[in-house]
Amino acid sequence: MGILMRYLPLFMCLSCLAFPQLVHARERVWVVANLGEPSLQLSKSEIRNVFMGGATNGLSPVEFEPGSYIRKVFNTRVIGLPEARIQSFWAQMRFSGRSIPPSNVSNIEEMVTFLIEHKLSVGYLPEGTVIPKGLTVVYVSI
Amino acid sequence: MVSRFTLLFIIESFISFGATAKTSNDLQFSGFARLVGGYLSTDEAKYEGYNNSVSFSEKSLAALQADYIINDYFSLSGQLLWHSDETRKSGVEWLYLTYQPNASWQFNLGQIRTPFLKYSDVIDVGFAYPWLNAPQQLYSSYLFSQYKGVNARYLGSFNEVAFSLEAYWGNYSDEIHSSGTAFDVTVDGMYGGVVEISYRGFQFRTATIHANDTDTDLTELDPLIQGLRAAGFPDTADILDIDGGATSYLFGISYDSLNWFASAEWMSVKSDLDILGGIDSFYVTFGYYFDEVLVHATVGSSRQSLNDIENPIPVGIAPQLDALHFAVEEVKTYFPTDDLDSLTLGARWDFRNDLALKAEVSFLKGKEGKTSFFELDVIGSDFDRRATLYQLGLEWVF
Repeated sequence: MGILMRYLPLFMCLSCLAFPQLVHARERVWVVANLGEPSLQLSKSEIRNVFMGGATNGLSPVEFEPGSYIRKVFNTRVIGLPEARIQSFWAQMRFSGRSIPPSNVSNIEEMVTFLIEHKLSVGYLPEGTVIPKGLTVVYVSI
Repeated sequence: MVSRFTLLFIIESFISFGATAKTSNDLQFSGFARLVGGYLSTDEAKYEGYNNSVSFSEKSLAALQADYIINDYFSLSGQLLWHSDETRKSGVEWLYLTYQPNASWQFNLGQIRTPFLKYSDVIDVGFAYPWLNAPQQLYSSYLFSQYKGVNARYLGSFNEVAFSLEAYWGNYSDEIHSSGTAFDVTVDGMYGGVVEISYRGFQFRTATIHANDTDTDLTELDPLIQGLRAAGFPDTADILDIDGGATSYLFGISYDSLNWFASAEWMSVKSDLDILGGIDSFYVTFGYYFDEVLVHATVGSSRQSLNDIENPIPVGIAPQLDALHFAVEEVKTYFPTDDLDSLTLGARWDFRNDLALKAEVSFLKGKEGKTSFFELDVIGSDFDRRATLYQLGLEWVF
C-alpha cells in the first residue's frame, strides 16, 4: 500500500499523458443537417464516412476550423481520430486527387447560417444549441 | 548535388507563394514541401542516396498544385514538383482531367500516379504519412509510380461498411533507379485495381498491378548483348535484353483510433523476367499519440529471388570467350537482390495544422552478397550490409 501511494502521483501523470483526449470526452455534439426528410437518422459510421471522404449519400459536410473546441469534441466523440491524423489524411486525399476537405466555418452562428443556406449540408453544434426550423438533429454523440 | 542554399531558397519561395496564393471559386492553389536531412553510419555504401555525411539533397522537395473547376462535372488538375534528388525528375508530376458525374463516381484522364500501396500515390507528400522514409522494402522507386491513362473510382457504403473500388489502365515510361543502376523502362497496357473496405476504425486494402508488356533498356549492356550474339550465345543475350511481364499483389490492414494506430502491408511481385523471380515484402507499424506528438515503430522485411542466369560461355578456350564469361558474371552481380530487414523508430510532432517535425532512426540489416537496397562503391566488397540511417525533417502543406 505504501509503495502504491508513493508512486500514485507518477501513475496519475502517466495516465494524463496516455489518455490526453479524454479531457474532451464529457462534452456532446449534435450532428445537424438540412434535409428534406426530417425523420432521417444517421449512424456514427455513416457520419464518419461523410466527414472523412467516404460515401456521402448526397450530403455535403461542413466543419469548424481546426483548433476550435467543438471540433475537438466532434473529433473525439464521433470521428475517433486526433486532429493531426485528420490533417494528414486530408493531405493524402487532396494530393492524390481523391477528394478535398469539408468547408470550414469559424463559429456557431456561421455554422447555423451555412446549414440553413445549403440544402443537404451536414454539420455539428454543441448539445443544447437552439436548432432553427428547417434543420434536423440526425445524430447525438454519446 | 544541389546546394543547401539553393534548396532553402526554393522552399522559401514556395512558402512565400503559399502565404500569398490567391484562390477563387474556380482556381485553387495548394502545395507541399519537405526538407529532410539524413546521415548514414557507414562509408562503405550508400542507402537511399545517403552516405556518412549529412545531406539534405536526397528527399527534400517542393510541389505546387493547381485545381481548376471547369463546371459542376469537370475539373483540371496539375502538379509541378521540384525534387532535390538528382535521380528524380522535376517537372509535371500530375496532369489530369476529372469527370465527377455524382458523389459516387470519379473518372480521371491524363498523367496520374499509380494507386497501389497505401501511400504510393502520395509518396512525395511526407505530411500524409508518419515516416520520413516510408518502408523501403515496399515503397522503393522501381515499381511503376505513374502512368498516362484512365482511372475510375466508385465510393459506396453498406450499413456500417464503406468501400471504394478503383480501376485503371495506361502506359508507363520512365527511368528507374535501383541499387545505383539506371534503367529505361516502358510498359504498354499496364492495368490494375484497388479495393478498400472501412469498418469503424479498421481499413482493409487490396490492390494489384499487371504489367505484362515490360521493356527495359539497359544501354550499358548493349555492347555485351551484341558481343554475345556475335559469339553464338543468343539465349544468354536474350536474358540480358530484359523484356517480359510482372504482376504485383498487395494486401493491407490498418486500425486507427484516438490514441494509437497499427498498420501493415504485404506485397508480392511475380515476374517472368529472366532476372527477377519475385519479391515478397511487408512492414508492420505501430504508433501512439501523446497529444500532437506521435511516436512510432516499424518493422520491415523483403526477400527478392532471382531466376538463375545460366552462363554457358566456357572458360580457358579463348581470351575473348573468357572476357565474355566474366562480363556476364559481373553483370549478374549488378541485378538487385534486395533482401533487407529493418527496424525504424520515429517521432512526429504536428506543432501546427500544416507543419510537422519528424525525427527517425532506421536500423538496416541486409544480407552479405546481396544488394539489400545498398549502393555499393565496390561490388563484392566485404561490407556486412548493416548500417543505421538517421533522419530529421520538416513537412509542410498549404
